[in-house]
Amino acid sequence: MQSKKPTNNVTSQATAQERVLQSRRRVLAGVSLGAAAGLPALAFGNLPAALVEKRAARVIDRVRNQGFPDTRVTAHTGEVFRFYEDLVRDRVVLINFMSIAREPELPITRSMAGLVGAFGDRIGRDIHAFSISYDAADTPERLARFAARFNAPSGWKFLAATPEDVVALGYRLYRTEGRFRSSMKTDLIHYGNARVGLWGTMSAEISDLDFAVERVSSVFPAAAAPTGKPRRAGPRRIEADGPQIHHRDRPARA
Amino acid sequence: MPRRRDVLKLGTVAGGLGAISSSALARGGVPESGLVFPDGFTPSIFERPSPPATPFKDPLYRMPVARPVNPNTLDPRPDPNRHQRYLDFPPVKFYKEVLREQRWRYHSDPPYNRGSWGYTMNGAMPGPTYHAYYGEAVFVRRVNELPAVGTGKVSFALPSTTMHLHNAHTASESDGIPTDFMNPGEFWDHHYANFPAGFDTREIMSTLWYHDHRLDFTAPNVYAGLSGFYLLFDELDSNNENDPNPNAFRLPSGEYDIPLIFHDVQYTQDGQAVFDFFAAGELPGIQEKEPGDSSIDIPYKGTDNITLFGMLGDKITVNRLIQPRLDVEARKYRFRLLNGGPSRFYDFYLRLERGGQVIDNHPGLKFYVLSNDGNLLPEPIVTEHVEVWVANRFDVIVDFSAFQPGDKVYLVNRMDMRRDGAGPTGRLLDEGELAMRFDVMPALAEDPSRIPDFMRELPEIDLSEVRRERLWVFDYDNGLWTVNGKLMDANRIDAKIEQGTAEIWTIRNAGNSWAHPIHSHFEEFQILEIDGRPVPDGDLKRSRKDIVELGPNQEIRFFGRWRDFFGTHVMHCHNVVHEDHEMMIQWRIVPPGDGD
Repeated sequence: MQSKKPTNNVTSQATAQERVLQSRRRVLAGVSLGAAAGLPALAFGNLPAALVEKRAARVIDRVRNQGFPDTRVTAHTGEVFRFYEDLVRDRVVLINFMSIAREPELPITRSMAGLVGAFGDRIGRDIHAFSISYDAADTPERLARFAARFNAPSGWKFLAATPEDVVALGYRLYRTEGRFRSSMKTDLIHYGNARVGLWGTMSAEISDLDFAVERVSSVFPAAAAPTGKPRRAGPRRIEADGPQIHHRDRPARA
Repeated sequence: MPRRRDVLKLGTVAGGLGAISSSALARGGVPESGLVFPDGFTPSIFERPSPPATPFKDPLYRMPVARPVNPNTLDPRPDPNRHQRYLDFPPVKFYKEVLREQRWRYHSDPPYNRGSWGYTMNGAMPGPTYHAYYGEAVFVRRVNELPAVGTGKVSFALPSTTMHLHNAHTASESDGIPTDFMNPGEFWDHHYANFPAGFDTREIMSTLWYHDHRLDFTAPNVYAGLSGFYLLFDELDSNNENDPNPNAFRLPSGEYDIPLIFHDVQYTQDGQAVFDFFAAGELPGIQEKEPGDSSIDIPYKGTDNITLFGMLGDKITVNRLIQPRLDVEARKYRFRLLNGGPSRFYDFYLRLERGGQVIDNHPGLKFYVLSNDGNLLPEPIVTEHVEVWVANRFDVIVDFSAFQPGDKVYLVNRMDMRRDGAGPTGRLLDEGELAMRFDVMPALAEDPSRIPDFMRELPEIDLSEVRRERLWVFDYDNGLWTVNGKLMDANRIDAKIEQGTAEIWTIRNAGNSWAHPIHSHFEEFQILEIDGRPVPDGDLKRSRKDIVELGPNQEIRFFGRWRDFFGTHVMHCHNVVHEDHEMMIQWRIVPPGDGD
């Protein structure tokens, strides 16, 4: 059915990485497989990598709505939840992965704290925030002390889970097995409206908090669009003051 | 690839009529796809395929040509103070384009005949085709009448949009950069000055397109419908195959100049377009358990088109119709091939069916390529296939006078994609996927069109204009798509380029299996080297480009100029799923002396 195409130097490199990827897919599909290499040790505690990957495949088999593995997670408050059914379903959410030990190198919790703070009392009511630790050393007790450092309101939960559950959630949100390599200097914050099915991501390096809030707010459920005369979004007048980040006349309505 | 004049000179057209037996047509049907699965692995697009649709049943959709409106009907009136150089290029045509959520009929078979919800522009999907002329500036007001979040039928797309005019030499505020979005109930004004960069007529462009560019949501928004053509003409490429001007190219025009945009789409059993498993509601093909059932044995049906890697659909649509057909006269046609994405690449060939026999090597099965990325070449290039990555545009002439009435000519995609959508596998499919069919009819009249010997010379590359070089490394890092190790930050300017200068950029792929169509806005560039080797004369890539086709481990250097306007634009991967997951940088044109 297929033939190698010798003349095409752009695409002729079916590579080892592609084969590794296919192997991973076979794990996900529940097909047996030998090698399970390259998983980050951090996530696994003392468990052998191959075992974790096998178990993660079984966790992913439990996929429910919107592809989220409905894993059991323990919050820093000690409460136990099912990740999708109890925490995500029908909500607007912020989700990120983190580890206490890596925070100095990759201060993603600091970014989340900024976002959470900017949403004020809407957190816990209109929007919920979840920070999933990929470090098996981050027990709920340690996470509770960590959350206190950031004055986390009740609508922002730090979550611990078994290594295989964390890996399964990582597959869901990134399509990658682990959560940290030492080369990583940045990461994503996921935001979404689970009732509608709208999901976006942004860089965890937030340099303009107002704009980050506007970005997340774009997935909030909104009233029907006004039927009257349309408003001008932009561009604003050349001489008008405004952020360099865009040419909009004014911030969007949340 | 030979230049056309060489072919004529040498008479080296691949000759001979040979019939091969094609299992595809011999079976009396057309393959849904030529994809082959390794080791029994079944990707999700085959685990829960789209409902069948009879191929080549529906005639090709021809998008309407956009019609100007009376500017006095625009309320409020256009405001020159909101646009750079508005009064230097006062608009002579005004348009209003309204975005709505409507049902679009991708095919006449059920369930598609009931319509699929999507985003339309003035009721069309793809949107109306703009016909613009150099020297005639254009004003477009776009009005967002999409339903607000949670109130519409399209769940996966964001009803907030910014419309980018791809490859246009346009000021930042009219370019449709990712942060310049309009929400439901809002409008945005675009001023397209329609002059060649640097007022250099060698920079004149031909085939542009417009598409959504919303920060974080470009892939689902374009997929939902937001794309269309914007064609530029001038006195040489004059939109008139009977042009008495002796210098005019007289390319096929009017009925014989047909834009074709390709999108691969995946549908539910109800015929609704689906984007990925983030979509709300029940997943097609996934069995939901009864309430109270706490068992954990729900079968996982694969996620392969549902990743941050790319999104593939199993139905190829042409102008948003599934596998259409087109009656063609036995004469020359100009087709403007555009890959609208989101992630699939194409490698197009032609295939002939005559009297039930399939013929792959008929001498008429070739393209006269006129342009790369919509910019006319110095001279046409003859080739039997065209590789079209996402956002690539190739204008080609196909001369159906080589065929007989009754012949059927197929446009065949032979590119095999990785099933996760992140790039090609490197394999060429034998049968491939039949994108559309041309049914050859007798010519109604003499064909006045021509294939010119010469078109537009390339602007010279003057290295003395180069102020600096930059290196951009595109990589994949543990689930993240990065440029120089960073994710897109809308508040970070990654390069400050001094207006009126040139730079040399090196675009490097640090991944050994990914492929990225890298697009930089605003002004086309010329490739100097691919992996250290210059582009040979007569190669399609010896052209003005706005896309770098960055294969695994490749490194490409290009020479570019930044002229005429100030402001912020972007460069990004045009696998729009990669773009949305932050594979993008921002650069800004600044006054001389303010550069970095």
